[in-house]
This record gives sequence, structure tokens and C-alpha cells, in this order.
Amino acid sequence: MFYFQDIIKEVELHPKYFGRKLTRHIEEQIQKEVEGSCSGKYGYIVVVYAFNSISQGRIREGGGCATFTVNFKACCMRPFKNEVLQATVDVVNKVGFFCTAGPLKIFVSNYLIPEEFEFQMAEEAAFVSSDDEVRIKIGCQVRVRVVGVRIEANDCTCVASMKDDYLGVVAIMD
Amino acid sequence: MSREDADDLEEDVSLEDGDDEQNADRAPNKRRNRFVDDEGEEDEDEDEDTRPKNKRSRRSAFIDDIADVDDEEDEEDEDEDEVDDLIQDETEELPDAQDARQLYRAGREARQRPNEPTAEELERYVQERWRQPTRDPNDPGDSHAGLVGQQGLLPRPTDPRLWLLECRPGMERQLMVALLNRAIKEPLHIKSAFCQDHLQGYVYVEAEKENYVREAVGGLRAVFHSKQFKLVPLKEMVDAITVSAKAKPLLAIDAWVHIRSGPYKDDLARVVDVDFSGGKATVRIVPRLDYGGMALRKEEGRRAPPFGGSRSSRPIAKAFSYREAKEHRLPVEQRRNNFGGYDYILNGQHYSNGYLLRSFALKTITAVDGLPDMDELQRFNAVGQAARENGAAQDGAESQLAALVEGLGDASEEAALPPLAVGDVVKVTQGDLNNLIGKVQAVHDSGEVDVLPDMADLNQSVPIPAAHLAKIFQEGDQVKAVAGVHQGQTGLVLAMDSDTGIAVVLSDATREELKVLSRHLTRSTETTSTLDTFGEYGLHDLVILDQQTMGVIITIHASSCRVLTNQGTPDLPEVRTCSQADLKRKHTRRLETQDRRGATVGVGDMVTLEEGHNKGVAATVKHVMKASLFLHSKDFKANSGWLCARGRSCTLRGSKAAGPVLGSMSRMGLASPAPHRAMAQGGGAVMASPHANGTASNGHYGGQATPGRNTPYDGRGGGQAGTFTGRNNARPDQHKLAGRTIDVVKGPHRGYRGRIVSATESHVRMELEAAYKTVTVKIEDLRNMQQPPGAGRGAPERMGPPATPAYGSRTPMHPGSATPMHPSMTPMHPSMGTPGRDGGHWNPRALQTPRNEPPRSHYDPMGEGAYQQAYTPAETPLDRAGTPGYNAGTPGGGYAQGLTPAQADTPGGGYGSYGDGRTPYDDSGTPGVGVGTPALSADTPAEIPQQPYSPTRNSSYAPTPGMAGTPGYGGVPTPGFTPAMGMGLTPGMAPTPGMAPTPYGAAPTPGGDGSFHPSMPSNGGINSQPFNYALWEGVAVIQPDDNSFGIVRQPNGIGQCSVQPASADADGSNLQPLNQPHLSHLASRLTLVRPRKGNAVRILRSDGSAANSDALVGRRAILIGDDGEDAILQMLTAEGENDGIDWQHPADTHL
Repeated sequence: MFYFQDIIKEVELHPKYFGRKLTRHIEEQIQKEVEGSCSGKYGYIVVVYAFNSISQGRIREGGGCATFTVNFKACCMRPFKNEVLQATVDVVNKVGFFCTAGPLKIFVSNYLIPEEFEFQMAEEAAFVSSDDEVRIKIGCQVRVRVVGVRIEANDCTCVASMKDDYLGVVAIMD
Repeated sequence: MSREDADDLEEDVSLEDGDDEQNADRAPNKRRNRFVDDEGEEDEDEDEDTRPKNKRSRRSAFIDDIADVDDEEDEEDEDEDEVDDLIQDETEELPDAQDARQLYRAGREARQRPNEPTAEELERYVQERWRQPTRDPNDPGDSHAGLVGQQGLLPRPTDPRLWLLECRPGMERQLMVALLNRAIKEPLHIKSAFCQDHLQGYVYVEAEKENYVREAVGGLRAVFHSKQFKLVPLKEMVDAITVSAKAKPLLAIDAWVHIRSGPYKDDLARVVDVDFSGGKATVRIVPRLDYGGMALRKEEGRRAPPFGGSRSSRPIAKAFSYREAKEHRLPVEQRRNNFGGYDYILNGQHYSNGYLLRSFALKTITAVDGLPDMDELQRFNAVGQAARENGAAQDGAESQLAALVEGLGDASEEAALPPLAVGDVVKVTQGDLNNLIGKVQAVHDSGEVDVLPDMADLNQSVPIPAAHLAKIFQEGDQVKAVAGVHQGQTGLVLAMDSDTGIAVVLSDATREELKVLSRHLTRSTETTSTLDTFGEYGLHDLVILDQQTMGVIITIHASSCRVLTNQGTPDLPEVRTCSQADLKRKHTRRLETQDRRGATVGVGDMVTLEEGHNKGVAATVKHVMKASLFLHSKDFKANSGWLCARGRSCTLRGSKAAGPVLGSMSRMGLASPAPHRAMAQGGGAVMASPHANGTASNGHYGGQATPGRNTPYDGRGGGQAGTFTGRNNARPDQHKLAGRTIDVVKGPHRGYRGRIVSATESHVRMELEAAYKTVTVKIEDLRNMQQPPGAGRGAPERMGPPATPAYGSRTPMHPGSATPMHPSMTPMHPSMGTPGRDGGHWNPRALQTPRNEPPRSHYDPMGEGAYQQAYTPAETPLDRAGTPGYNAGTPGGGYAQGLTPAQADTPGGGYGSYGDGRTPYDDSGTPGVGVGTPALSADTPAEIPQQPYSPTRNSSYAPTPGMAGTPGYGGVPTPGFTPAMGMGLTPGMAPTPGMAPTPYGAAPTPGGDGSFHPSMPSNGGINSQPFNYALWEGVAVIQPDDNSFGIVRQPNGIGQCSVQPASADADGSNLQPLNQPHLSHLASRLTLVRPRKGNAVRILRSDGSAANSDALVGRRAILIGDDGEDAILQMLTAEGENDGIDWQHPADTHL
């Protein structure tokens, strides 16, 4: 789920940036550090879209660097259990398939794929439904429900299920 | 233990005397009745005849209570009576006895009647007899089963005695039955008889006198009559009859047992059948067979091990293998079993499903308390599993699972497992509430668990025995294994089968799916990345598995670890699962090895993989072992980011060592000496022959010219190359020699082989392998160290190390392009690539056997530059010399130029716009394509140095100084000239095809192609049309003979043109026709002038790359730009731009 979040973060800046463009440097620094990162608390921070405030800098003794406390708004993306996501399949193997929803990597084990799907290796690795109508293969758009999320220091993986109503392949992209 | 039965009683009654008449009308004693009921079911045999029941029965009651023995007495009634009376007065038991007596009495009365008892009587009797259990709870006698009460029940001297009889072991129970039978037929005087299962070979008989005993057992063969009957001392009588609690846990079918001794000591087995009387149990066990030993023993006639020692070693336990047994020629009998498979019989032992079915004495097996160790269990199950797979093909996972579950027995077995914790979600597996799902509210010591049912209406917790509960988990639960093989692992539940109790868990550490029993799991929020110690080994340690095998521990489980070994390849890594015993030791020394360029790679270095799927991936060297590097990188998806690669398939990043040239050169050297030579001569990029150089790459430029190469050309080439020649040739760096093992092929030590310990310019000191000494050997005497004769170089033997495709990727050319030579290169050079170095790929075949290949020459569309015939021309110099085919020899030749005229057309494309290939016919004159004499290049191409060089296609760019410099060429006045021819004819080459790559051959031809467009080789050959010379009217050309400019005036369309001489600047601009007589030339000998921006041009041919380009042939246009390969033209007759035209087409026309 995407959501906006106010985040407060400290940033350290080298003295060489102390000048007219200080604010910009701070902002850039924040963006650089934060965008694309993943934290256990907020999930993926997708983009920083506004800066609320930047505190006065505090020179650190000895180093000359200054720390600024920055309060900014960011757009975050965090998977929640039972959330339904749409994702693109990018790896298919016999244990299941991996798909990505934005920055998030999702694993769908074959235990969590409906039974009628069977793994086939024929031309390309794919899970094929028993009537041969639906193929889960690389490039597919699938809709899955998150069953478990594991958030680590700077990564986030989740396990999703396709075994539910209204879940499955929604589109095939070439 | 024997005692009288209810039936006995009835009979007894009739014999009883009337002592207890007074009691006759008393209600029958429940106690007595109870006694009868309860114990009547137990076996017995005793004498039915016992007559006097009265007091006796009283006492019997006592004894029964305490010892399950009852006695009936016959004699000394009077005495007994007295005693009994006393007892009656004193004890509470009295009423019991009285009742009993009364019962007897009633029965006796009935008997005494002349006829059978009436229906009423019978009914009454039955009622009385059976009424008793209902009253039992109130029986005071029971409540007194305290110590004191028990004391009163102890046998006294006046009681019948117990005799111990020896009998045939195993026959005890039969003996009892025999006695019983006997007693039914005729009365015996003994009171009881019993045996104890744990006491083999003995039975007890209770009787007043020994005589009675003898009388009773007389004639029974199971009894050893010769042995004395021992009287059991009074004190021991109780013990004799006490059933030991120890013996209690009877083996049940399917129980797990351990074998106590013998070869199967401590092995796990499963009970198939138990024979208590025989004292044996049949078990299923994993056989420990030494097939070899069995076969041997057969031959030698079952000889006992020498020195009386035990067997030399204990065979390992593994599934019975019919195949293996057969291999040892053991007589195995095969029998079809009920399950569609076979059972086998070997030496009288039955093997089923891989297990040995064998009976063990009960004494030699011990029951396992609860569940056996998981490891053991798995080993045990694995056997059946393997057998199943061998036989009927089944789904492995399924059957394994089934076997596992089967092996685990029922849940009640496991008391030892981690207890339920509050909050666990459980499912009831037995009882009324089966299948109820709820949450654990409280766990009591008693083993009861309060479960709050997960149902809307039920909000009161229910106590349920823990054994009846199974933990269940839901998909997505974060769990941790707290027992079992996966102990310590954490993960996410993917699926849960609550019937089997198996959960599939996606491990956090390894991202693998594990099957774990749910009772081994607990919910947990922690995530462990992995276990990181395995005994003395740590995660990522380099461990030795055996002499050749070592590896890195990549994951650790509770009892095993996975080791990435050096036996696989980067693309096909080998990962073994090892137990502690498999790991021999840790390897801690830090070693170094060399990368493909010869740079030293040590631990901590960054290297780039040069081969395989992961080509180009940078990784950190974590361990070095011999030539193997253990690399770690996040980019390796498998095996936790570990990979094992050879040092040779990596390059060290940022190494100071040799540049790419050397590296690749040495490779080339290895790959194909011949081409090298060509190259060397041509470009001065000298290749060392593999042997000569050994590892070659000595990281130094400036090899020496070898004598062999000292042809004028070579010299020239070398000279030009000047700065570098990869050729370490005969003189590899001395320090590189040290440590190598090499053969001596000349001199006094000829035939020896040894390791070089030190080396100088001319000599090496080497340790001979055969003789333990160190000798000094001339460097020339070493194999491949001598200067090979020039021609010899190309000889096949020298090609020893065939080019392997692996090397292909690095073409010598590339490096070449980077060499200083380039600048000096004439445009021609580009094409110069000797066949050997053709495109990006080596074509080993072509390279190695140039001779055979020529006719095949064709363009290989797949490879970037993999032109096959590569070298062919050289061999066939003579024939082809005059034909365009000749060109084939040039790298350009790679392109179809065929050896036949027909093909020749196309080559045109291959070759520079000028030139050669233009018409098939021409070639005769132009194979020379060679065109590209230095001179030529000077004129024309000057402008186009090598810019358009496209790296990917690597049009063999190699500089060919040799060629340029060759006098012959130099002399050539016009580009159109056919130097190639000349070359082809040079004696060196023609006569000795073997030499294949004569420098000349190679050199000139490339020149031809490259003459103009460096990029041509790559473009060439693809769809290029032949020139239609009819279109050439008005086109500016360079005349072949004197390199002067001219304008085509009358092309005849078949290859002859009349050319009006013209003057122009050196670069072709400012073209002015001269008023001179026209000359006639072969069109193919004419070289087109490269147009410049702003020139008016005519499109002479198209490569079809642009949609309408074909239609544009013949049109005129203004050249408004070029990018080296394509020209951007503005059409003169119709507006529009066409940027899809190749350089080769826009031959210019200056109007």
C-alpha cells in the first residue's frame, strides 16, 4: 500500500556544502539517502515529495560536518498482510514464482498457487492451469494476496498467495 | 498364575464338606464373587477337583489380593478351619470368606440335588454371582489395600508351598496349558501353577507337597524331571509371583526398539511381530551387510575370523541391494510380495523393501521410550524410501512424506516434544472434540491443556489432554523450528497439512522450502539468518572433504551442512550435503593463484568472471585453494551468493599486471599458434606459442623477435610494432619459469622431467622427478623452450593446445586495436585481421586446420565476427591467388568472398568499396584486394582512419605493419594493385601450405578489405549487392596503376571502364578532369574515392538495410553527413533524406 508519511531524519553534511545552496544540498542528500531505501517502519520510501522543515545545523565536534534534522514527507510503500497486490511475474520455477509490485519482490510458492495449476517446463517455465487456458509465465500480471511479510534492515520480501477468489492472472504483457 | 475359576468353584462346591453350613443363608459375599470374576479371566489350569473350599477359599482370597495366587487346600481341613476361625474373628475380611463359603454352599446344595438345578436356582445363582461388581465400590476389603492389609496377606508357613521347576526354555506357557488340560480331565493335587515371562526355563507350581507336584507334571516332556524341584523360600514367594513393572512395557507391533548387542548394536528397528512365548520379536532393521565379505566367506567355507577376534569392521547400515548382492554373486532368492515388489532371501535372511526382517530375542532389544531420535528415524526411513524409488517409481516427495509420517507413529507417542505454549493454535485430534480448533489458554502440569475453542458460541475453555492436540499454523505465520532436523531455522509457513501435521516453511536463511512437523514449530517473530556454527566449523569456512575436494560451507542445518565444492563449474556448481564426519578439516592457509592474465589473486581481491552465465560479474575472492577461487557476490543468485571458479576464468580487477593484450595474447597463443604467427608478423603482436611461453603472459611488452620470424617482413613488423609484442616467445620471464614442471627434450638430461627451481637467461636449475637431484639445463633443452624453426611453428604439433571455445571470446584483435600500432595504421589494416583472428570468436577448427577448411569458407551470421574459413587462403595460395576467393584468406575473407567467382560478387561488400571484389571476374586481377597497400591507404583512406570501427564487431582491426611495410607492397603504386596476388605467390607461402599463415598471405589480403572502411568487414557480406558498373559513369576513381585520380566515362557494365584522368587534391577533393586520353581499366581494379561532405554522389549499390535503399541505387544525391559507416544523403531528384545507406554505396561522383 502506498501512503504518505512524515519522516524525520538526520542528515550529515560536509562543510564544503555550507554555502548558498546549503538547503538544496541537504535536500539532495536526503533524497539520495532515502529514496529507494526500505526501512522496517515505513517499508519502501519511494519518493520524497516535500520538505517540511530543516533544522539548524549542528556542527559536530572534531569532524566539521554538520547534522541537520530534516522533516519531510515521503511516499512510502509497504506491504501488509492480506493486502491484495498486482504484480508482474519475473521468475518462474518449480517451487513457485517471483513477481514484483513496484519495488517489492513477492514470492508465490507453488503451495499457494491453486492446485489446478501445474508447473511446465515445455517451452518456457510456466504454471499452466488444467484447462490450459491460463499460464503464469514471465511477464504476466497477477493479482495476489500477501500472506506474510518479512521486513529486514533494508529489504523487504513477502510471500503471497494466489489461492483465493478474485486472484490470479489479470493480464499478459508481451 | 493360576487360580480357580468360577467353574472350578462350582465343581468344588459339590465336594465341599459342610463346615460352613451356618453361613449358608448369608448373602453371597461380593468379595468372593469379585474375586472370582476378576481373576477368573486370568489363565488357569489348576485342579478343578479341589474339594474343600470353605476356609481355604477364605485364605485364598487373601493370597489372591496380594499375590494373584490362589490356593486351594484340601488337607488338614480341621486345622485350617481353626485357623480360619481365628481369622474370622479378627479380620474384616471375615464376611468375605463367609460369603464365599455361602456361595459354595449354595452351589453345593444345588449339586446335591439329584438332578440339575432348576431354572430359578440357576437364575438366582447367576444373579448372585454377577451382582457383585455393582457392589464392588463399597467393598471394604478394597479400601484396605494399605500396607497393613497387605502384611496380613503374606504367606505363612501353613500355606501351600511354591516349587520351582526347570523346564525347556520357551515351553513355559505350553506347560501351563498342558497342566490345565490335565486338571480338567482329572483332579490334580496342586493348588496352582504359573510362569513368568521374564523367567525363561522355569515354572512355579503351588502345592502342599512336592509329591503332588511330581504327580501333576509327571510325563510332561517340557519339564526337566531330572532336575530337582526347588522349594521357594517363604520370603521369596511374593517376589516370585510379583509381576515386575520393568517387564511391563510389552513390545507392541510397530514399536521402535534398539538392538542391544551384536552387529546391529544400537541400531533402530521397528517391531513387525512379537512372539512372547518364544521370547522373540521380528523386527525390521536396516541391514548391515558386507556383500564382499559374505562372498568371500562362502568360498573359504565360513571360516571364523582369524585370531578369534570380532569382525574386522562393522559394515555400514544401508538398504539391501539386490543388484549389489548379485554383483558379488551371492545366491539371492527372489519372491514376489503382496505389494507388487520383491522380497529377497539371502542366506536365510529375509529382506523386504530394503530392510532386513529378522527376529531378535526379546532380551536383546530394548524398547525406545517415545520417539526415536529424528536422525535415526530419517536414516531408517530413508532406506524404505530408497527401496521404493528403486522399485515402483513413485513420487519421491510423496512417499518420503508418507514414510516419514508413518515412521513417526501416532501423536500419543511423543511426550518428549516441546510443550504447547499459551497462545498456540491447536487442533484436537482425538476424542469427542476431534477437529476442534482453538487457542491454548493454559497448560497444566497434569498434561491437560485448556483450549479456548475458536467458535463464536463457545467462550469457555475446555480441558483437553495435550496428547490429543496438534499445533496448527496458518499460511504466512512466522515460525521457528525448535526441534527436529531443522532446529533453529526460522521461516514463513507456506502451507500446512493438518492431517499429517506437516508444515511447509520457507526458510529465512536459505530461501528453501522445508517440510517440518508442526509440533516442532513455534510461532516466533525472530528471524535467524542461519545457524553459523557447525561443530568446529563456521559458516563460510573453507573445509576439506577429501583429497581433491574442498568447499565452502554455505548453509548449516542442525545436523548437516551444505558445502559448495570445487568440483563443479561456475555454471553447474556442485553442492554437497555433509555431516560433520564428512568434513575432514578446516583450511586456513591463505594461498594465491593466478588469474587468466597471470596476475596473482589472493583472498580479498576483487575479480571479474570471464566465463559462464555470470560473465562480467564482479566478486570478492573469499578463499583460494589450488587453482580454485571461492567467490562471493550478491549477484550470484544461487548458493547464498557463493561460486567456485577457476582462477583462469577470472580476471583480477585493477590489477597492475599485464594489460589485456598480454592476457589475450597468451590465450591466443594457447589457442592457435599459427594465426599468431600471422598476426605477429602482420601486426607485430606476437604470440607466444603456448608451450614456449608457458603461461606466457609475463606481463611485459616487447618480446623478442624469434629467428623464425626474422623474415624481412617480420622484422619490419616487429620494428613497427616496436612498443609491444606480446611475444614472449622463447623467453618467458624467468621468474615465471620457476616452479613449473617441464620436460627436457634435449641434452644429457633428455627425457627427464622436473620442476624448475630457478632460471636465468639461458639456463634453468631443475629438480628432476626421477632422480633426486637438481641439475642445470640449458633453457633450449626444455620442451617448447627451444626456438622453433619458423616453419615449424605452424606445424600441427605446435598447436598442441587446441583452441577451446572458451578462449574465443577474446580475440587477439581487440588487444591489437589498443596497441600503439594503430595510429600508424593505415585504413587497410583494419581488415588486416588475419583469419586467425577473425571476429570475436575463434574458430578452432579453422584455426587449427586451416588447410582443410578453405572451401567451406562462409560467413557465419551468428558470430560477430566468426568468420570461419579464416585462414584458408594461406594454404591455397596458388590456386586462389588470382581469384577473389583468395581474399578469403583475409579476415575479410571471412565474408563469403568466396573462392568461386560467384561468391566473389558479394565479397565486394566485404572489401572496401574500392576494389577487389567488385566483380567476380576481376578478381583475377584484384584479389589483391590487397589493394590496401600502405601507399594506397595513404591516399584515400587517409581521411577515414579507423574511426568507424565498431567494437562489437571487432572487425579485425589488427594493424598489419608487416604488410604495410613489406617492400613488395610498398612498391605497389596503386591501390588497385593486387598485392595480394603477389603475396600469395611468395614462395614462402605457396610452397609450404603447412605454414599456413604466411605473413604475406595474411597480410596483404586484409589490406584489401580494409582498404577503405574499417567497418567494412562487419558490414560486408551482408546482403551487399555487387556493383553494377554501368552506374559508374561519372564516378571519381583512383586508377590502379599510378594511383592517380580519374573519372569513369564509359563503363561497359561488364567490368571494363574507360577512365578520364583527373587531378585532385590528395584527399580527393577539387576533382578536375584532365584533358588526357582515356585509359581503359578493369573496373574492379578501380578504387572509389571516398566522398566528402557536400560532394555530389551517386548511390552505387545498397545493402538493403534501409527500406527503400535498393530503389535508390543509381540515384544522385548530395552527401550531407556521414558517421563513418552510414551516409546521410540528400537526394537530388526527389527531396528526402536517406540515412540508411552504407558507406560503401555512396561511392562518389563529382560532376
